[in-house]
Amino acid sequence: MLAVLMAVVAVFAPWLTPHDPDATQMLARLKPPAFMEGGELNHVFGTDQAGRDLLSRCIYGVRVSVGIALFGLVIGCLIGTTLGVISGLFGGIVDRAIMMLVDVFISVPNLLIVLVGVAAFGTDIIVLVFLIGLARWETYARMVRGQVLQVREMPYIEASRALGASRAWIAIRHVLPNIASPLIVLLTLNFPSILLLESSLSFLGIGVQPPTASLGSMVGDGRDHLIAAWWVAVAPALVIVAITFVVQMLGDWLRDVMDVRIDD
Amino acid sequence: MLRFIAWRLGRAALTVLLVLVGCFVAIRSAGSPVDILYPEDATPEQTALLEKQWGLDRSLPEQFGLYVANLARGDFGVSIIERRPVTHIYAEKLQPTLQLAGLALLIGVCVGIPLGAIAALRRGRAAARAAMALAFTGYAVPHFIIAIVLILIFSYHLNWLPSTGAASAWHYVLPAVTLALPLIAAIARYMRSTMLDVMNQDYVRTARAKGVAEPRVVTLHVMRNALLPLITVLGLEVAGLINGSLIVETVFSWPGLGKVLTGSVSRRDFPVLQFGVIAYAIAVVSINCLVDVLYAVADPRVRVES
Repeated sequence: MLAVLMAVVAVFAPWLTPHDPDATQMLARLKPPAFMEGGELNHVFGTDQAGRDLLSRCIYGVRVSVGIALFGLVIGCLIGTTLGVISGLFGGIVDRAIMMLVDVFISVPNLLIVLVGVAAFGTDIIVLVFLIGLARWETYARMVRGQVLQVREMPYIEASRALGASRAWIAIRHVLPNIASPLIVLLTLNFPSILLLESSLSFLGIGVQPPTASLGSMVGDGRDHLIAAWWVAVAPALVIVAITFVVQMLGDWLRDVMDVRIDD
Repeated sequence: MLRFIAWRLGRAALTVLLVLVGCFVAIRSAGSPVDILYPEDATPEQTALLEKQWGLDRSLPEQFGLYVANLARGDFGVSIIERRPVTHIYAEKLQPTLQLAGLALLIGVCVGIPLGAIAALRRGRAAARAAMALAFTGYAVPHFIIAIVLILIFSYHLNWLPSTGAASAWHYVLPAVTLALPLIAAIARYMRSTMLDVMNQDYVRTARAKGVAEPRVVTLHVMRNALLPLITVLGLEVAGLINGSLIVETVFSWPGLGKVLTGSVSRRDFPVLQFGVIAYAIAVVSINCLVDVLYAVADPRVRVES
C-alpha cells in the first residue's frame, strides 16, 4: 500500500505539490511546520532558508531520489544477472574470472568506487545513475550464479540440451524464469541501500547538483540551519527513512511469501 | 595450511592489482594530467615537454607499468591543491580516523553480540523484539541521518555533547555512536541467525541431555560456535565501516581522512583521491585476508573446502 502511494507521489508530483518547489518567498523564510507555533497550514512541513515550501520540495525530491535509485537498480541488476548467468552456464575460467571481479567489488568500499567515478566523469545525473548501478551488481551475480548452478542440473535442462538447444536459448528460456522470484526479492531488498547511497552522495554535495534537489541534498542544505530551523533537515530525512523502511519491509515480506532464501 | 595461505595471498594481490587498473583507467579517462595541473595558457611546447617528462607520450600499457613502478617506490604523487606529497597529508590525518573507526568497531562488537544473543535466546519475548527493532532501525537509517538526529538531541537540545571537532574525549561520543549503530545492527542480526542455527544442532541437544547446566550450554556450546563465523562477517563489515566513516567524519568535521577524500573529489585532486582509494583497498583486502587465514587456523574445514 505505502509502496504504491510512494510511486503515485513520484509520478504525479507536479499535480500534487501545493507550491512551486523552487519558488522563493523571502517573507516566509524558515517557517516552522504547521503543528508548531508560528506554523501555517499553507506550508505543512514549513519552509526552508529561501522560503521554499518544504512539502513541495520533498515531493520533488522523492521523484529525483527514487528515479535515480530505480534506474541504478535496473542497471546493476542487468549487469549482475548477465554476468551471473554467463558465470554459471559456462563455468571454468570464465566463471573464475567473473567471481574474481565479484570479490574485488565486495572488498572495495562502494562509496570509494563512486567517488573515483564522480571525480573522473563529473556529477552528471547519467554518470551518477551508472555509478550507483555499479555499486551492488555483485549481489545479483552471486545469487544468479548459485541459482543457475542449481537449475543446470535439473532433468528438463538436460533434456533440452539433449535436444540440441544452445546455451543462450537455455539461459533465456529455462534459467531466467526460474530465477525470477529470488531476483525480485533481491531487487526489493537492494533498493534501500541504493537509495541510501544516492542520498549519502547528494548529502556530501557530490551527488545530484543544484538546482535539482534530491532528498539527500536537501538534508545537506538543512544541516547549515539545524539550530534555527531543524525541520529543514529533518523533513527530507524522515521521508528517506520512511521510504527505506517501507521498501525493506516489503522486501522481507516478499521473501517470506515467495519462500526465497537469500543470504545477507 | 601453507598452500591455503599462499592461495589466499595470491587472490589478495590480484584484487589490489585490479583496483590499481581501475584507478588508472578512471583517472586517465578524466583527461590528461597536464591539462588538470597547469593553466590553459601553457604553450604547446611546454605541455609536450611535460608529457614527455611524465611518459604520457608512450603507450598505455607502458604508462601503466610506469605508474605501478612509481607506486612501488612509494611515490604517490603530489597534491595538486596543497602542493605537497600526498603521503604527508595522509600521515597527519590517519590517527583520528583510526581512533574513531576502532572505537566504533569496539562499540559495535560489545553491544551487537549481546543484543543478538538476547534476541536469539529470548525469541518471541518483548526484549528480543525490542533488540531486533533496534537492529532493523540501524539497518534502514543512513549514517548522515543518525548523525543529524543525534546532534539535534544531544548537542542542540540537551546541550550535553559537542558536535564538531575532536578536541576532547567527549567529542568522540557522537561520531563513534553514529558509526557504531549500523554495525551493531549488522552484528546483532547475524549473531541472532547463527545462534538460532547452532541452537538446533545435535551437539547442543546432546549437551542438554547430558545434563549440562543451561548457562554452560549457552556460553560453551552455542556462543562459542556462533562467534567463529562472526569473524568473517566483521571482516566484510570493514568496507561498510569505511563507507560510513567518510560520511560521519564529514558531518562532525572530524580532523581525519574522510574530509580529505571527499574534498579531493570536488576539487578533482586526483593524486590525493587515488592514494586514498589504494590505501583503503589495501587495508580492506589485507584485513579480509588475515581474517580468512585466522579462520582457517581456527576451523580446519575451511581449508579443505577451498
